[in-house]
Amino acid sequence: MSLFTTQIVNSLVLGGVYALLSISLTFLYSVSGVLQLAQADVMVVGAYCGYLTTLLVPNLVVGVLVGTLVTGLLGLAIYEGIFRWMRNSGHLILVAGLALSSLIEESLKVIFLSGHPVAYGQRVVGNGSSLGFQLLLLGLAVAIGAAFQIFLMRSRWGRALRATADDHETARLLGIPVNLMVRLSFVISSALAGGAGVLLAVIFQYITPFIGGQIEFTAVAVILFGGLGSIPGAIIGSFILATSQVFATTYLSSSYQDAITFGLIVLILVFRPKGLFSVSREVRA
Amino acid sequence: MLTLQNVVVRYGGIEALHGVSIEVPQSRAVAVIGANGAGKTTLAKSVMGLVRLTSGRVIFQGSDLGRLQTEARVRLGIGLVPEGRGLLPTLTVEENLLVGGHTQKTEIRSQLAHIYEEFPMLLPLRRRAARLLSGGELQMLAIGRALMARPRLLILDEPSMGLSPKAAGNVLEALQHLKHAGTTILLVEQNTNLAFEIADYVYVLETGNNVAEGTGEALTDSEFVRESYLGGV
Ligand SMILES: Nc1ncnc2c1ncn2[C@@H]1O[C@H](COP(=O)(O)OP(=O)(O)OP(=O)(O)O)[C@@H](O)[C@H]1O
Ligand SMILES: [Mg+2]
Repeated sequence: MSLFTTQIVNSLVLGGVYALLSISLTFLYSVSGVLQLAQADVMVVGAYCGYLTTLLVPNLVVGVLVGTLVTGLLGLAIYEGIFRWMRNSGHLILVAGLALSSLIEESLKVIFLSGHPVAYGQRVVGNGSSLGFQLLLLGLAVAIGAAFQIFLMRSRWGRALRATADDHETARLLGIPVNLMVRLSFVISSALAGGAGVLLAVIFQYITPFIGGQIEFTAVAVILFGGLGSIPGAIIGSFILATSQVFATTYLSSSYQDAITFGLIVLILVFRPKGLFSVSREVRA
Repeated sequence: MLTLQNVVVRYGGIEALHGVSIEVPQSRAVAVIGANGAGKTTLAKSVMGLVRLTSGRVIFQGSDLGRLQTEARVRLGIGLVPEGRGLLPTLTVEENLLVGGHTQKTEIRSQLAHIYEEFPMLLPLRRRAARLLSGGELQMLAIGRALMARPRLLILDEPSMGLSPKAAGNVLEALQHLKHAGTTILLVEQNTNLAFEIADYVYVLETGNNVAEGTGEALTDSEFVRESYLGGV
């Protein structure tokens, strides 16, 4: 395989994981109004769950399932413990997210040998860089995203969640239990992030409590890029950012990676402050 | 069917309703008319539990609704078509209708077919995003959506607002149809013509006070109402 092809595949895989994280953030934001800045750390919890699972069952798919389940419960705990009490708290919500982020990071450090890197065993990832394995990763990312999309678009509760995202008061008037929908959005979005975390750990080839911090900015860049609340925007933004990061690392130097992310953030904030694909809401009669 | 007893609602320092009492008998249409800021929307919201009563009671089918959640009130059979139509912009017309039937466990599809029969104009629009609809189409959608939950009492907050006379005529026709089918209606309106056309009994609200009430004929005969609300005709 040529270097170029390899880079394209790598970009797709990385983009798929970014997309899951950004969809999770943007979905949570549109239903609950909370921009959850610790979501990347939830992702890392997912990565550790996947790691621990694969010590017992050397199968990545099982790892993804367990990571998804545990982080779904973590999402519920995060809602009940913190954000439930912070309705209409404005910017304090961002502060709470940052605090939670450190809390998770520090706890993981305590639990996992001062944060010494761990990695999935050979039995799980084999020769992790083979094309077949990369395609498996991409397939898993797509499967998670597709399952979420089908749930959202086709099911009764998915519809109720979208109605809640559009307008809380109208949703209430139609008999939708809005508080339950907000709680559910925390569970689902955390589960999405957790599943993505298992995949991310494979791509990075190691896990530390700090890998969340590394991609937190990327995720925020992606949703600014795509427009807060827009799922197609999150997907396209993810692939654009992943591609530019992968190619910058290959052809320039990995130190340009962050520069590119921040450069894009600045460009978007200046030229398209509402994002490339922001949902137009002004039509509300 | 619905009784409001001395309802007082305060927003912070401002009192929007100063003790309003109204009565909506079963299978009848009752209107509440009043100018901007009279408290009409507040009254509608107080029935749905969207604003908290400072004092007074809202009684539906004999039981005090107290602090019951909005969702629970919908399940009891009260529906509100809100002021401004309560657009769900990213959902399609059909999704709006389906979500209106969220509380219904069964027969959603047959109810959907029934709504398309009642509002045939919605059928060709079913796959269109609600944000692309015209004002008149949107109002029909909002009414159809509220009907998906098969409410016993339907409250409408200024359904004719911003509509052309023709579209307002369609709303009137839909309401008349509903009334004949036995649905109880509480209409909150500035459009006195529409209100008098449909309502068996009308209350006049002025800055949070109920200042007059009566049948349509009685009120049109009253000097006060003619001068204040019917342009002195
Ligand atoms: N959320 C709120 N906070 C503070 N004051 C409010 C709020 N909602 C309404 N009010 C005030 O309560 C009063 C009644 O408002 P309401 O919306 O019920 O009137 P309305 O009769 O529906 O008017 P319109 O015909 O313009 O819709 C007004 O003085 C309004 O400014
Ligand atoms: Mg009003």
